[in-house]
Amino acid sequence: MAPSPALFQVLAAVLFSIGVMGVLFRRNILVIFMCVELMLNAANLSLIAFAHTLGNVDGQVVVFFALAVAAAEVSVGLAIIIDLFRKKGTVDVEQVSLLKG
Amino acid sequence: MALVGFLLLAGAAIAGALGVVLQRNALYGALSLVGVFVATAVLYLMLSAPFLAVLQLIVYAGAIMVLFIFVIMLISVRYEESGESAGVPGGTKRYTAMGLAAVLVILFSILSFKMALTPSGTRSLGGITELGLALYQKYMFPFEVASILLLVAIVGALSITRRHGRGLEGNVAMEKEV
Repeated sequence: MAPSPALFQVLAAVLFSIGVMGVLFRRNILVIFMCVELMLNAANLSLIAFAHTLGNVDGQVVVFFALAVAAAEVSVGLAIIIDLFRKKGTVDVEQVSLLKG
Repeated sequence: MALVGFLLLAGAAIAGALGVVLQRNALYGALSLVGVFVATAVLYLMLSAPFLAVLQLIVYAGAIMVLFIFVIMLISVRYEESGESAGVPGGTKRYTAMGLAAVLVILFSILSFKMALTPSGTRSLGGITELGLALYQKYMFPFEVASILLLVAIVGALSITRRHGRGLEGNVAMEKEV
């Protein structure tokens, strides 16, 4: 018996929620960044599940572009993190609050 | 049979995701994340998207995670979150997180069950042929824009990490840490 399409959406929701929790409650900026990747991945899973359900390839094309954007985002984000570490000597977001006023 | 496979993969993915959030050491978190990506890649196969499954393995579990692990090795192997900030947060934070997660999951579940999704037959969907046709006909312009985006990202990453001035100036933190 094949799993119901809604199960895939529920799994995507669970993964997304775990990612949100990580972003909200961790302080290591690298872990926060990995949790963002987790959330992106959950969204991709949801899109592919919908594409399968609706018999439409457009959802998969969106996931393809999401992959490209994720690659770009990771390279720039990690560059920013490295620069931040050079300037501040820490990857703790609580200690990097320049814009907080 | 497929349901059992789905449940196993879903369990692996959720366990890996919890690992990312709860592991104290960022490196173990990164390895858990690789596990999540592999599990979701197999799920993509189940959802008739073989091309994207392979792409997920190459781009995410391969390239992106290697980059992550490089940076973790460079920066924070010795930097581990200390004291109460590590792992599961305590008190109100924990309950807020759990409540939020519960609300999200219930909301998504209700939404997706209400939509009465029914699979649309078994016609093959995500082979390279269909995806390639869609990419190069309907989505030609976004495809080209994506390539420019990647180029800009390369240039941006290089210009951000380039050392300004001469030599090791402005690099005090790195020297202190290493």
